[in-house]
Amino acid sequence: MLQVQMCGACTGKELLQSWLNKSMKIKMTDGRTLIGLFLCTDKDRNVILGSCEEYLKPPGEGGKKEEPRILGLAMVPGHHIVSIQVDALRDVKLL
Amino acid sequence: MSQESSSNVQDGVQQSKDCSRDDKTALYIPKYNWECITDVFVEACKDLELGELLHDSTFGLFEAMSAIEMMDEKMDAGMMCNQTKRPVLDLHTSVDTGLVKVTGLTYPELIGIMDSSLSCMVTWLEGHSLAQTVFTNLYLHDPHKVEDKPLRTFCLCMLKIVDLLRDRINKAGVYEEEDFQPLTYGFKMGGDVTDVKVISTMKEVEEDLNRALRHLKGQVQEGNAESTIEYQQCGAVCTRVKFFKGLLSMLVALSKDKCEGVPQAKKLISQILEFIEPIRSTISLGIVPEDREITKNDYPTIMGFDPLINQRLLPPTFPRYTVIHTREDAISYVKKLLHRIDTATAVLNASNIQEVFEVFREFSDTSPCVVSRSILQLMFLPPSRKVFGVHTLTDFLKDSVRAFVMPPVLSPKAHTSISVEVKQYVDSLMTRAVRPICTVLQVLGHNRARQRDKWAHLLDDLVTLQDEADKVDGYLHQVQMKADPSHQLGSSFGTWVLYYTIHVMLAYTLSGFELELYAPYEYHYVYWYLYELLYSWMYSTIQRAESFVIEHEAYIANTQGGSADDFQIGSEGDHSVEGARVRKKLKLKKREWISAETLQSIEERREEYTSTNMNFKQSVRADNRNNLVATEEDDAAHRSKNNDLHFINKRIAGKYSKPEMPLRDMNVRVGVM
Repeated sequence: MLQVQMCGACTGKELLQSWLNKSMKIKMTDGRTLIGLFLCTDKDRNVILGSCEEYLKPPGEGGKKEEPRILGLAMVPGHHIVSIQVDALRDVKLL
Repeated sequence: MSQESSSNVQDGVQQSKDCSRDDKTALYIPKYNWECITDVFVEACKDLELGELLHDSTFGLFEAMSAIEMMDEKMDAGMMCNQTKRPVLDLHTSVDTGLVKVTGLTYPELIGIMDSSLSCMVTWLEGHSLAQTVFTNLYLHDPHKVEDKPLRTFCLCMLKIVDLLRDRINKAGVYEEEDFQPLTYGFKMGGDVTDVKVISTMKEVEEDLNRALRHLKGQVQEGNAESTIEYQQCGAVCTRVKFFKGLLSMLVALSKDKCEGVPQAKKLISQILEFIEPIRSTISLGIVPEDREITKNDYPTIMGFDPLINQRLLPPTFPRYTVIHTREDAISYVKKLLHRIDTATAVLNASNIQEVFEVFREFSDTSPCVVSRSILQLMFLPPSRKVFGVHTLTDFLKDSVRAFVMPPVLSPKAHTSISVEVKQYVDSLMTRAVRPICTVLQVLGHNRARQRDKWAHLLDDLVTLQDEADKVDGYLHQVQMKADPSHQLGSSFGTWVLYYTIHVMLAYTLSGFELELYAPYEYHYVYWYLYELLYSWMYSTIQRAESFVIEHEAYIANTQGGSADDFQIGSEGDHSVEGARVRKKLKLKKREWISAETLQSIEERREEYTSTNMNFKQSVRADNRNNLVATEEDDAAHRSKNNDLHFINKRIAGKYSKPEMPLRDMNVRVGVM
């Protein structure tokens, strides 16, 4: 939540732009998880991810390491998105 | 740092980016710091207008268009409904859990596995990916894990066969996306064992089986009923071992660089063909798949095969379904393939490019498979870039020109009397001719639907070559005029190139019929064009060539004191055995490359087109006759036809030349046309 607090005055658009080209993890309605670079979105929250990988179980859980399926460029319809997480580590855009 | 489990080197899939931060992970997995922004994201998106896309400058609509849409069952292969319900296990797991046997296999199991493998190989050769065909056989993923000797050897043999076929097709380079999938997905093809070793081990297995057969035969004769069935089964396995051993040996023989293995390959082909029917009649002895539900990409198989084992290696685009051939179909396919390869070996009898061209054309007319087309290409021009592995291309082209028009400048006696400059001109023309002429032969190696486009591009190169040939002819004419004005030389080289140019134009036009590109109301344009222009040009070119041969023979006999029989290959210094053999052939075939029958059939074809287009042509012919009365006018008309030929060539090739620019110096136009 660090980022949001810092950019309290940013518009929604600027916020979205700050996330462009960052790694994003999206959980879909059928339970699959996608990890990729956030490339594009629109009003209906359809998201396009680049170099996208698909995990059947959320990565990090369970003892076994799961090998992801490489998708490449993938588009997730907005209404199939359950949750979105962004990789905030390399965020340099401060106030 | 602890070891991570050894990932399968074979599949080349990248390691998973695991988010767990414990020190049990490998060194270079990126660390993520996930922050949940779902609600913020949703809110932020409300700021966008309907239809507005938010992206950075490097991302465009084209990229957006090529993305896979998730949760769309046609595009998303990972969707639950597209996923299989049953577990998919690799070879090692399957062996450990006892689902797949690697030892103590029965004869019916061996027969079933071998026949299914053949079906998979045939399906692959028809254009499917290795991952969905050949490598659905788990045993092929790691043959060394198989303890049973016949099966292990068979697996290595199969891998070698697949590798050799793949190598031939890749090297020939006459395949397209619809013909063949070259990707190997990193699978190992038995590279740690030599071909010779595999063949000799197959021989050992064959001998073991022969011993067992003899033993069983003894039991059958004693009246043991069970042994009869076992005897048949053992015989079936033995026949298959001999068949696959022969197939591998044949491919190894064909791959020899100087084509010296071709006679042996022919012998092997006739041997293998004898095994086809015994195999076909014993297909029923093999184990068959149990009935199971057939879904979109999952079908029932026997032990050791799994259609879904390689799903994750396939591209993420829409799911592709591969239907494996039946065992009977597979063996029939192999029979036809062997016959085709046998036919292809006839090209080695050709002594000049014209004959090779004829062989290639006839072969292409039968719409052969990618394997036989590739093998034919490589027999003519192996990777060493020598014709049949023996002759250099320029020498072979020179022989072809000699056979076609016998120009005095290429006769062996002329070697001493012509200047260095003339020799250089001719040599450089031959070198320049290599690429277009070889491309003509290569285009004939592609599948028939793809040839038309390539003919169009080739005409470009041939037009340039024609120009150069005419220049050389002009130069030779000048040299001749200075040396001996009494005798004029004809356009030898120009005529030779024209022969190929017209053939390409004919191929291009006729391919329109095959591809059904012409509407019925256009037929008479095409027939007129063929009759009036193409076939009549071809006819006059061939006649001109024939008259050159007669003329030049006489000229050479008079001036150079030798006979035309001295027109031999490589007389400029080649004394090899190969040279002698081909010299002998050329003597026999000097003027037989185009027989009276061919001329006759060309004439017949012309008449055929006439009869389909009588009314239209009558008025046209009347006009033409008025123009073609006198011989000087004849010449002029011919010259203009060649001009038209040039323009038409350029138009077909997609370019337009400037009409004002003189394409050739009309004054140097050589006499006999």
